[in-house]
Amino acid sequence: MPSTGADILRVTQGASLARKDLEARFESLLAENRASLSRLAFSYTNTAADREDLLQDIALALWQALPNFRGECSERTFVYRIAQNRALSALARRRPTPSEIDDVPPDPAPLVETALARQEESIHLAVAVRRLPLPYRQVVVLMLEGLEYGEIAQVLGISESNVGVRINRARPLLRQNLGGRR
Amino acid sequence: MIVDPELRAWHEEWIAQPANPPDLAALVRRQSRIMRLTLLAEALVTVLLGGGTIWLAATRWKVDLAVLSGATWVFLAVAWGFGIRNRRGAWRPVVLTSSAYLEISIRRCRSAIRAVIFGMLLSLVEVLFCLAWIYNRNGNASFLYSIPMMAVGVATVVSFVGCLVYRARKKGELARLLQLEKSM
Repeated sequence: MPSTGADILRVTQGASLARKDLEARFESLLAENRASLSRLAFSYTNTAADREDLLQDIALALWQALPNFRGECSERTFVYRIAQNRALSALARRRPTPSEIDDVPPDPAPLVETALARQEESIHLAVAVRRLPLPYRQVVVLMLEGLEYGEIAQVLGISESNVGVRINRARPLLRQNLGGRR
Repeated sequence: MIVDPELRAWHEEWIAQPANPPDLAALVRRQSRIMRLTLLAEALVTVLLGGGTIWLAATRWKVDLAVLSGATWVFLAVAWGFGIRNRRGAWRPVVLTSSAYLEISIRRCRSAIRAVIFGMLLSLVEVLFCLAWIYNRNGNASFLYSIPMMAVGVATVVSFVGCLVYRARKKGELARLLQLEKSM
């Protein structure tokens, strides 16, 4: 416990340094995962506004959780866990659109029109992923981001064999979702 | 490293998606400020209401002011007590696996629904107490037709409607969370 003015000053300076460290770590985590988080948010939302809201939620949750991160898992697993969890919250908050209820694919045309030609295929893929049932979508998104089965299992809290089963079951569905549009 | 050719092709297509995320760090800074201000506002309300009535009772030495002060503290204690009890178990760390997170989200949603009902009931009791207190002080009910009282009445009705809308939204969210839990 600080007893003198100098002690108090030292503690305050230490806290300020720790906060600066935390801010720097947060900004670097965001910078490293910006594109991945953006893609993940795209696969769970239907509009640009929802996607931006979800990204903001993810970033805020990351900022709140970062001081408690003690390296129990890799930084990548940590970031994806938070992102997946916030995506679940976003799914629960918004009403399902008719396209989700009837399982009719959302029309990617407006997106495709505004995107560069070479990105069209990737947008078709993202839309096809968005149409997968949730348990499959979760593993497929993480797999497409390049996570190993073990990492995916850690993020979702399921076994590695379950990850494999889900990916195997998701593949024909994804092929089918892509089929009509290629 | 993805070995399967089909999965690798999908991975390459996937990472070619256009990504223009907003400046998240700035958004988070703004949001954090709002959260701190909200917390400060809650503490201020407690201090102003509780402290204000104590100050009134202490400086004027009147029975009705002492009753008002006591009742205010009872209401504040009931509200804080319910809040602490209702939030118990719902504020674990954010970093959980998806299934654990869903479970905690369901718990949070249920406590939010309980809190709305509790808040409405407590507000109703507070309004009734205040009306009885003013009536006892004035000796007649003419104050009910004054503009400030009418404004309070309108504000109460509007906040109740707001609470009901919020409750309906939360119930919808809870239903969707339960559905997600079932589908996992």
